[in-house]
Amino acid sequence: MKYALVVKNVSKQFDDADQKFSFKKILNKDKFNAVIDVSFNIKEGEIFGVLGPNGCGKSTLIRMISTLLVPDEGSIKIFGKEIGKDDAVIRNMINRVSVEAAFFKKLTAWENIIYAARLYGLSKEDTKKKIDEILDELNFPKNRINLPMENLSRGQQQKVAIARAFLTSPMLILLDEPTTGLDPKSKMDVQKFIKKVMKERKNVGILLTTHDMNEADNLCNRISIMSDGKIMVQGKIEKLKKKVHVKDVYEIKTDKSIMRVYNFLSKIKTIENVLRDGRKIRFYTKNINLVLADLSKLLARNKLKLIYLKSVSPSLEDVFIILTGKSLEQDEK
Amino acid sequence: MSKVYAFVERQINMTLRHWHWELVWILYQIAMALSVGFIGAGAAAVSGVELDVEELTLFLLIGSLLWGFLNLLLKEMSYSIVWERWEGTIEYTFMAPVSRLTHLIGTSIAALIYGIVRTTLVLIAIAFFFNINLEHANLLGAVIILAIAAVSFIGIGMMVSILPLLTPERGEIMGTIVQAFLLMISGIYYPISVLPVWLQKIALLSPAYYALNGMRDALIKGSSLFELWTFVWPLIILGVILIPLGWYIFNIGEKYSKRKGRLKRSG
Repeated sequence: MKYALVVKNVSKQFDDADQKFSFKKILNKDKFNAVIDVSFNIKEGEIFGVLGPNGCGKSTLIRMISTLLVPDEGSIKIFGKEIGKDDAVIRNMINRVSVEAAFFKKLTAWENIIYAARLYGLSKEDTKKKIDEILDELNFPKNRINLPMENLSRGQQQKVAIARAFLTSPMLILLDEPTTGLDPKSKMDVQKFIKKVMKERKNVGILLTTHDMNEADNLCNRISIMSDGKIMVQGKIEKLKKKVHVKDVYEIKTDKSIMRVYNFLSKIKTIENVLRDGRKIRFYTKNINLVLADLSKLLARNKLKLIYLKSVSPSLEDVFIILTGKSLEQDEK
Repeated sequence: MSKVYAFVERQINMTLRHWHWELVWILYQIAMALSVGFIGAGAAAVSGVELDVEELTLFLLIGSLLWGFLNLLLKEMSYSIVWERWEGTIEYTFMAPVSRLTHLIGTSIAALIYGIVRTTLVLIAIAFFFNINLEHANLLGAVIILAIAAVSFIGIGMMVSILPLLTPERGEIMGTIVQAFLLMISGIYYPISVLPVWLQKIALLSPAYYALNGMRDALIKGSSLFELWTFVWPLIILGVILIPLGWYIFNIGEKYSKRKGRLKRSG
């Protein structure tokens, strides 16, 4: 089994973005750590997910793997070739889809595609044939290929971006939040296409960054969870779920005043995290008995009807919350 | 070759798609060239001294045309980077399996083609306003000088195009400063003999100085190719130095940008 990607102890710092002028800053610039000592690998035929909130270092990591950013420390190898030494070879093996579809917006989808294809040495005829196939798979309306990119919807633009990346038959595909902001139908089209590619091409690896836990659950073989530039945990999704199963995850629903219940649960020390999801509340505790006594008093006092309180199997979102101590929403704030 | 063509085709498509902007720029360049030409025509009236108005006008018009050409070349090369940063495509171009020399040559060729087309249009417009006698002019000589000078201009263009990567917000403006300095020292609208001696020495390093003098000699005096050699050899030497130097400086700038994370637009 070959490794498509080996990332070893990679770190990256940036100058602090604070633009206020001071002589002290010129002499001694503040740094902030975007990626801290990150290590992981991706095997051939594997989709590896990097999960985390915005600003946790996912995109920085992708840029380093794309040869667009030089790591301060550590090494990155793609199919045995090392970034910094074999960049010219590596660039033939990789391609990328970023969260924002980056195109020349005044040019048509076809003009953007043929430009990219020529950079990778593809002929016009081959490009035409391959792009038709890929766009078909993605349910992209063919009659829109000759429209300027700015006239396409967000979902259509992202589909063109995905087609552009897969057109060059990369060995390592870097998908940086490829479905963020897409409608559910487009999201499904993209996920279906990724699965199909992985089924057909056994020798490729995919690195997928996302903050969509369901997407990671659906597509990835293994994941790592990043927070504040560090990898908190990594492994197979099922193993990670089992790992957190020792702690109990509960879901509660009452007929009204859900915020009162939320505020109440948030104050209980034996509860580690409380998460509101519409009319339901999810929380984590090792000792449900301690919670129950106080909870029933609260319900009685406020004349609230308990619809249910049940123990649930942890989702990937729960894994994230339990391991990082905060929800994706909280982390982004 | 197909990779070089990718950049040429892209740039041409972009220019055609923004044809209304380009039309405005062409009108602006024509107006500027005519204004400079009218300075020559009006110089005798202002000074009260008898002048060879036709020669002075031609002297100024050649300066204006070459300046327009050089300006366009540098602007197009620099804007190709600015534009890519703005659209966010720069990361895709930089991670593609394309050598930076191929990339820069591709954008230079596109800029060169557009520069020739636009300068020709300005030239045609000028011909309607000024009665210029080119009976004794060595047109071929002027074109050869311009072609050789273009190589050096491309070298300068490569250096200028790294500026938008180093200072994303102000790179274009820094490029304008370089152009202004070239305008000042190269004798575009006056002979360099009016400059302080130390600036005259610096002027000898500017390819625009040799290009201007060569073109003026070819068009005004009708100098032969043999006589133009005085201007051709320094241009060849400058071209041989400036292209690798431009490429080298761009590479240094690119490495710096990759260390500092300056390629990205956002995210």
